[in-house]
Amino acid sequence: MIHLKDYVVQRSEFRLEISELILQGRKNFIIGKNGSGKTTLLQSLAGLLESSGIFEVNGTNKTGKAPERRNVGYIPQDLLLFGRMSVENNLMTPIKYGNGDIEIYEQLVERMGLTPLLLKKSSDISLGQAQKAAIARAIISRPSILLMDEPFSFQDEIARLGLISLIDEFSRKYGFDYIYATHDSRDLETGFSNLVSIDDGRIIESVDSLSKIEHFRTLSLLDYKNLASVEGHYFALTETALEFNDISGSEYDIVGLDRNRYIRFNLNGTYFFASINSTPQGRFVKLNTSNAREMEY
Amino acid sequence: MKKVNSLYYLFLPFFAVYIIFIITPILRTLTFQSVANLIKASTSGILPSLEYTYLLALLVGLLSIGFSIPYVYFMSRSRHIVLKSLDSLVELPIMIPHTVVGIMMLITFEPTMPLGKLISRIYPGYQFLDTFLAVILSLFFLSSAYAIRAVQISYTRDVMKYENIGRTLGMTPITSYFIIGIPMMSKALLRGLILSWARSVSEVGSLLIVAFSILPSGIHLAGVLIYYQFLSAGLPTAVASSSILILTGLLALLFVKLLERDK
Repeated sequence: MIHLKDYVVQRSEFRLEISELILQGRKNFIIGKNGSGKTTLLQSLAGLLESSGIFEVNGTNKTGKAPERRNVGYIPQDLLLFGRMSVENNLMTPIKYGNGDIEIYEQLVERMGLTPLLLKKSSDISLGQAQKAAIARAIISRPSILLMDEPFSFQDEIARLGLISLIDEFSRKYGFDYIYATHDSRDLETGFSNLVSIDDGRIIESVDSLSKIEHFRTLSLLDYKNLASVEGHYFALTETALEFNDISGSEYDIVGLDRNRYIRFNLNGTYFFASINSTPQGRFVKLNTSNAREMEY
Repeated sequence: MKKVNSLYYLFLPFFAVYIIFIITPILRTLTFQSVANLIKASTSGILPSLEYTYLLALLVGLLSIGFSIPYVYFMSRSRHIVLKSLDSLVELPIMIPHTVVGIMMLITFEPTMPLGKLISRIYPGYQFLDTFLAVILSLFFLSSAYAIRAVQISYTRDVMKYENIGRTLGMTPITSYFIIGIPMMSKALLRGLILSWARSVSEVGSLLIVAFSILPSGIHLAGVLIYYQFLSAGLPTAVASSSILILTGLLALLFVKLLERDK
């Protein structure tokens, strides 16, 4: 369990402020647009940025501890394998200099097929191989939580989900929780315990299922479709919120393939997408907000 | 063949003009007189002078990178506004006219000056004018900024984040710095050494004030010697010495570039 209370990080002009956040469960995702504070949060939890307030993992206080004494693993977006070292030396770093475990090293090298790479310089391996090596290196250090800052964002969806599933498998086997920062909703398809939405240095909400999302900003990060903001009100659209062939409505276009069809319509000068199942009749669509789910911003 | 756009052709003349502008005076100097004259000129005192100049410049270069390592580490982790503003002082010596630097060194370190007097009390017999110490301190004042900035850019932009990752893997700050940081900085350290060395080799102004000739041997450092030859023996001798300095300097830079490529 991860517990943050009155947690503040000041980074030049940017301020991250969390009054309280409790993450119970292994698989935690943070979603937020670029500049929302995801990296600041993860780096501060890893001890790489100064913070104030309470940060506990499974009841152990990590506040104010140096990074090497936190037992918190961190994989940044650019992985940061030590390029002058071989892959083997990269993986051995936590064993030589920290609390790393040689048995975990052997198991991971075997499971991830890293044996052929061990003698190669880490600057000479492919991105996919480097991502596996970075995962292995972090897990060998035996973290109690593993923080990942979009480390697989340059991979295609299948490879990315494969790597997230792999981490999930290791998380169960080696007993660590993880927090994975992303801005791609498809990363959530492997399932999650908590989804934390963050914007402008503040937690918008933390939910344990997509159906519990109450904020427009969270939903807009997950899916740009089926959302409308009308005169200061925010709505998640449903099919019954759209009435076709009403002459007072807006004209629409059908876009997308038959299996994944959307209509695009203009509302107060802004274009919206809404998914539909059948081919609607008529040229016009009207938004009936009484059938839409109103959300908080 | 790789296709290039019209901007490439637009900028090509600027590139060509610049390169020609740099190369022309060098070629003119190197071809000003015959090889026989160059060989003859090598007995005019330029070779021992170059030997002293290059070695002293190397010493100053090493001193500069030696200071740059702790300086950069300290500054990269300092948050205080006063310390951050002190960092801008590093470039100050570059903008001060070099003769002024010579005068500054003189009125600071001469045994008759307050600080000099203090040093004299600690080290009886202390001398400053026309000594190796005067050369080293003046050159260090003028050229250390190049080493510090070369190392600082590399460290803060590329190296620190790797050190931080080392710490999340269990390394202490010291281990992470020496195992991860220093090896990653080797290219920047070499670059800093070259820049500082090259700047020291080219120095004249401050040396005219504090070390016109180094006692007791009375040797002049290369820049001073060539200036002296120009005034006393005339243009041909000064040009011949200049050619030898340019050729040896080019060889030294080529050697370092090869080293840098290997790393």
